[in-house]
Amino acid sequence: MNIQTLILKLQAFWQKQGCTIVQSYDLEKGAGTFNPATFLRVLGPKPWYVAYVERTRRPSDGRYGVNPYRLQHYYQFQVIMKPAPIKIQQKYIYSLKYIGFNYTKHDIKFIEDNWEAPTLGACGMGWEVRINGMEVTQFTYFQQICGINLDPVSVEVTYGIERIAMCMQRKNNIYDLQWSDNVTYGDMYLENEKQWSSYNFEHADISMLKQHFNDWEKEAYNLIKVNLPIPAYDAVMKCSHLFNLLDARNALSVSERMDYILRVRKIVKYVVQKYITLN
Amino acid sequence: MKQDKDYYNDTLLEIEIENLPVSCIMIALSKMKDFMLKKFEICYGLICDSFNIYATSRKLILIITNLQYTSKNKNKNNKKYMNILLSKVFIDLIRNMSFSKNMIWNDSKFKFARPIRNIVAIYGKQLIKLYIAEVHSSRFSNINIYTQEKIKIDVPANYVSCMKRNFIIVDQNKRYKLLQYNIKRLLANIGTILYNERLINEVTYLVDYPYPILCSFNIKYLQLPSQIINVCINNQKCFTILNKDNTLSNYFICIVNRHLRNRNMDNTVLIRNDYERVIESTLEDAQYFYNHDINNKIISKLGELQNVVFHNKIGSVYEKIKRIKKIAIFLNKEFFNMQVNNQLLTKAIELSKTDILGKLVFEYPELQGTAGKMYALKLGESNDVANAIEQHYWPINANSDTLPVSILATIISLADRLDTLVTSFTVNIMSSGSTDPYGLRRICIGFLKIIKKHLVDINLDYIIKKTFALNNNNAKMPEQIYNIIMNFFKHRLNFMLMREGYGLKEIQVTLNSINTIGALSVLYNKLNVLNNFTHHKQFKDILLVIKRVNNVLKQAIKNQSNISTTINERLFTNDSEQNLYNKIKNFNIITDDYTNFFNYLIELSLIINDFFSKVMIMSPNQHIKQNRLSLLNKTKHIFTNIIDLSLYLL
Repeated sequence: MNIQTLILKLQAFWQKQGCTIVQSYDLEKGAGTFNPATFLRVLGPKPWYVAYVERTRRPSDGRYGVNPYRLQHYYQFQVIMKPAPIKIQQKYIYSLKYIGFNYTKHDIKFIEDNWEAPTLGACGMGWEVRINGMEVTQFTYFQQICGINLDPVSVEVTYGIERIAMCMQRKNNIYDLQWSDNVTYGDMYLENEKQWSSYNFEHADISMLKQHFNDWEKEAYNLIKVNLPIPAYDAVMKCSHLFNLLDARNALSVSERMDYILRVRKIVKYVVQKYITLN
Repeated sequence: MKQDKDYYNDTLLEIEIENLPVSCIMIALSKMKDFMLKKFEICYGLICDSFNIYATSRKLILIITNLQYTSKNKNKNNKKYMNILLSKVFIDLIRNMSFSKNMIWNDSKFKFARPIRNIVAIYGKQLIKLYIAEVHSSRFSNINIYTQEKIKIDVPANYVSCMKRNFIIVDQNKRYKLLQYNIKRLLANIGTILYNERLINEVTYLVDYPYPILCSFNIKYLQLPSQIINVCINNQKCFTILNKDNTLSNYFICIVNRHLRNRNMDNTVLIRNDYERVIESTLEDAQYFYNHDINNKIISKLGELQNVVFHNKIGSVYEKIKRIKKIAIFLNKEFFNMQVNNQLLTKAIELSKTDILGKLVFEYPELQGTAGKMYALKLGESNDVANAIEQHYWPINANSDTLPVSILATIISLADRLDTLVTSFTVNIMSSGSTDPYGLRRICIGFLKIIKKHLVDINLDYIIKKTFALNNNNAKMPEQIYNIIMNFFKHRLNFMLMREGYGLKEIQVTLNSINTIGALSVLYNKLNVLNNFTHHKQFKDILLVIKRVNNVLKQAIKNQSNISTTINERLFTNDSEQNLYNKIKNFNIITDDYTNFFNYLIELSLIINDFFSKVMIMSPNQHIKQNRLSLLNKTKHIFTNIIDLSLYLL
């Protein structure tokens, strides 16, 4: 099954489970969790069932297109269900069946993996799901964000699309994956990975990144002041990605690094508090 | 053959939980056992012939054979009440299980380690009705999360075999044995697995019917140090395999579940290929990290440790290294007769922590120390230095008895631990209750184990105070910090001595008897003598004497008698009084000489008994009475001053 069919199948499956299929968010982010459709919408009591494909960027994970498994840009398929349905684990397993995994032929394990982001005061309980040893999904019951207990509890299911495709297409190299019947992953992204790795590790302008971090941090505070937490959250996302770039450039000492993390944490907290007060 | 009616009193509780993590399963098993041993009879008036507690990846199971009321239970003739009672018992049992990390998952707000999804509860042939965390009990057990198949449980006695037919081995010990047996069979002509107790245990709870598959990785990765290969493979819950000559092979095994619908496990090629690909990808990454660290010579970048925070109240790792050097040089001179060249010592210390700057340790923290050793060797450092880098973290946890081998590593390990303990308590970082975020307990236990081996006669107070002075421009350690450290050490000693098999009472009595930590040899001596003494045939007699003396004095205080400290020999009316006085008057036994002390106590107790049999304490003459009480009071101090045996009276 090629990747585009895989995505369509996952969308079809979760649509049948009652999820609204939303679209990817147009800002750089390190995980589908940071899409406001997850991060902001799991707050508060209103039910919220969505699924979406998310582009994810982790500058430090780039390998210049050489490593057959690592990418600095890849795709997640994200499902958020609030409140968490009783049979969510079964639903997930059905989704595997739906895309073609027969449990008798594969080894499927749920291995403890809790989500803890102390810098966001966020935590959740769950597992990573491994198919034949390959981590293909993160499964998390959100418990807290910014120190706020979530009620009701949301469940997040995040599939690593390339990982699943490698299992299904039996390919040893990400770039050999079929995106469609005529186009490979390599056709689409190999050159990108080379250039972006070079940018992330060698050419990103450190002083510009630092300046932009300061600018967007300031913007976020200004937006919170005028009761615009949603645009303010965008500013925080930008800061977060700028930090990731600085980190990949190896531009931060350990104490500086901690300092940046604390700055992001501080703004997120204000954004979340403002968002909750206004809703 | 069991008759049908014999099953009437068997009882089953099965709690199905979404994949409970192994650490939580361990807690659940021990809490369930505790509940059965401590509460079942006492709190609910129930007894049974036997009970078994099992756990699989998704189920906690309790099977009770021949459950009965105790003879004292007021409802013992009421068969119907049993059902109601068991419902309450099982709900209490589930509520009784609390974990270090709990979660909520629905409106019941019930807290558990993972969501509870199904409950089977049966007494004899009857369903026990209970409701907890939005789950109603039933007779139906889920046997396959993939197909959603259920089976109906009629009687508890059939449960285990019924599960087995469906490829769920509920008994963890049987699963463990089957796993080992299957591994052995698979490896017959190849070698042996590199035994990893923790991992085997974990895998036992990850699969319900273990089936090992032999896999291999590209031989080129064998160039990587074996420790790295091990960590990569173990992280994937797979086992490395040793060749017959004990070298690491390029084989490994993964453990998968055997299924009802795939009994013969045909087509495992697919699973094997995937595992091989995953392992090779992690080895590829590890190789990248390893080469990166070596090419960048991170091990020699001591200065960069200035940017690594050890703790925000304490400072950087670089500063820690500076302190370790001072403490180590002091230890080397004072206690190890300069056995280690100070230059070598300094060199090893400066290289001991730099591996944390690398990518490999960032990705695999468990390789800290080991990575440093490998990098130091690559840089041409001596084996002594390289081994010291690895071994200064030994023992790696409170259960490990692998201590640093060389004196060089021993000194660094002691200095590092002393520094962490003393600086942490100085800035008020503590471990409390169940949390020990900075591993102070583990560090202290390791410290004590090394001291026991190398410096058992050395006064620890001196070392601790000297460490503080070295770290603080020769300042004197404040009393209050010393007291906190001493209390902490006493708790760790208590834990360590229990592990070594000493009795709790002996440990407590001994630890209560010390006002400073002193030397471990003194402590062990006290403990051993006391231990022997408690087995002495006159030990009980002495306790009776102490009890009697205490009671008389207690009564006297109640009656508001004056007990003074002066004793007037002229008021003695009886030889036994004089004898007792003579015996205690010149009491001066060196407080550490326990053998003499206990011999003295034996003689003393005989004299006291004689005293009690010959005089009436409560003489009508107030002066004589008070004199006798004073005499007893002084006697009592002898019993309590050196070692307070009155704890044995509790």
